[in-house]
Amino acid sequence: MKERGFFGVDGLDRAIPQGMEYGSQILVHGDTGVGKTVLAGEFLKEGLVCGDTCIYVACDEPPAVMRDHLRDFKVGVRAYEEAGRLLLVDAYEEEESRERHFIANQYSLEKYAVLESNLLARFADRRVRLVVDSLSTLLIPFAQEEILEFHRSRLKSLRKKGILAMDVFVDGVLDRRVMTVIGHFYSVNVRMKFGGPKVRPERLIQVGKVKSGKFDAVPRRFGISPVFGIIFAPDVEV
Amino acid sequence: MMNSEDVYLKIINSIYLTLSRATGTMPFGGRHYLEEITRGVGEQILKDYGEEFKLESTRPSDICKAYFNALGYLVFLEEGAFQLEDEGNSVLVTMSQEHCIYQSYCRRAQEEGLLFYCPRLGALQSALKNALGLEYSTAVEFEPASGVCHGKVFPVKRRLRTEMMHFVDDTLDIAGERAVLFTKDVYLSFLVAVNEYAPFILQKVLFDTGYRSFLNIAREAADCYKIPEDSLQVCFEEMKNCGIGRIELVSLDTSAGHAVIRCYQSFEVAVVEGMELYRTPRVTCDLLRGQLSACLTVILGYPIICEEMQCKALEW
Repeated sequence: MKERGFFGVDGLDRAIPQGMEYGSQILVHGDTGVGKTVLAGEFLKEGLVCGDTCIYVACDEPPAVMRDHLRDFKVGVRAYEEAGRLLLVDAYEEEESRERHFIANQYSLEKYAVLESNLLARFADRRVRLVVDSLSTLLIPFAQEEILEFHRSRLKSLRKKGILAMDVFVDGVLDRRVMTVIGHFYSVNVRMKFGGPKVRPERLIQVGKVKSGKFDAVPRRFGISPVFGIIFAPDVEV
Repeated sequence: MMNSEDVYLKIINSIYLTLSRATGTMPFGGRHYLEEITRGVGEQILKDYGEEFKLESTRPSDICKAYFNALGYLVFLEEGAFQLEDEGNSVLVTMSQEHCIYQSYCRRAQEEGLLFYCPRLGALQSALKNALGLEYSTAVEFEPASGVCHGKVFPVKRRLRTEMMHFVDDTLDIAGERAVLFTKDVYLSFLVAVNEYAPFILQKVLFDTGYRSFLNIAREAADCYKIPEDSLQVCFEEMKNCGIGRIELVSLDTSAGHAVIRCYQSFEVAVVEGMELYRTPRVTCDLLRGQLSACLTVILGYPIICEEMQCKALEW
């Protein structure tokens, strides 16, 4: 039986009981501030305790933000980084980066794909999780055709390499039609949004698609605890 | 045919040897109990025959000499076979083994690698405790070439908490704290229950429980020893006595705040073995991680989070 990975968020994992094969790609999209990066952090934490090598490409903020975020949840970031099990890649500061791993000159998607591919090649013998947060930021300057072609070839390559990849998209950054097409390329789609009354909005999460697999598509409420991270409310249906 | 004195010696040595074997397999404080027995024998002799035990000075070597003077006529102490030298609050004792009535026990215990406390030093230990009201311990090395034993009776900085386990009336007590023993089934039931009702707290609860439960132990250990490795060793012994597993410090870089630690026969691995508590195979020693994090944080003096980087029970 093939190895399966999970998000590390109990309620969400129960929505995909069979888990995700390594080589699957997850699209996480949602409103600004809804908790996409927190979900990415949970995904990384789960990978670390399961023995995966976790790579986090920070596009919207310096990697130090994710480092601090993980530390807040009492993850021994330094131990994992020293062991080469956690790589925080700076795609935010570009040339000014002080990080050990950084991606600069992101004027070409082709070049980004090569840099990412080179990085992954170093861990060809390991089980790898890759998170790009957020990929939509990288894609802003590019034309629709370029974006679609980039996705087709990149996701194919990640699948072949057996990478469990999570790409984060901020809603409203890319054209809606582009997002619809992109959504088809991914094995798993997760939507996060604010809902409920405007005076007291609620966070909602929904698994929108799992290719060739069962899933529970009911949107569910969740909260973010500074101690426990994402707390799913499995028994509260909307 | 053996004379009666030989038979008595044989019996005494056999009793001590059997005690060493038995206490070595005792959980918690086997070492402590054996030491209590050797010291306790000396104390009883002191009670029964020590009317003449009069102190003229509080120097440890003088206390030992006063003890010899009071009880020197007793064969087991062999007055004159001891040389005493002060070393701070400790006493260095050089003893001839030639006429030692415990030599058969001593040799066999060393051959078998058993727990061992010299009964002769135990007598001095009891005298020092009686006179100064301080806890003392003993150590001895035998030099076969010269037939001389080099012993030391020294003040104890701290006893392991887990060695101080007693029944007080109907309650189990460890170092003054009410205690209870759990088997792995009980512990597993606790894990399963937490996992069923609030899975997102399980790892955190275990880590924090381990962390909080070892803060005081780590503080006491840090107060007793200047060298971090010595303090850590005390903590590791407490963990082992609790049944967590045998902990080994592979390396420690105090300036970098980096330690490599191994745990053998981990209780937390044994508990979840064969159970599908988690969806995917993973490291599970969160209680131990918390305990080690507390120890290193206190002993090194800055926040440390321990991570379990590898587990032999998993294939990665």
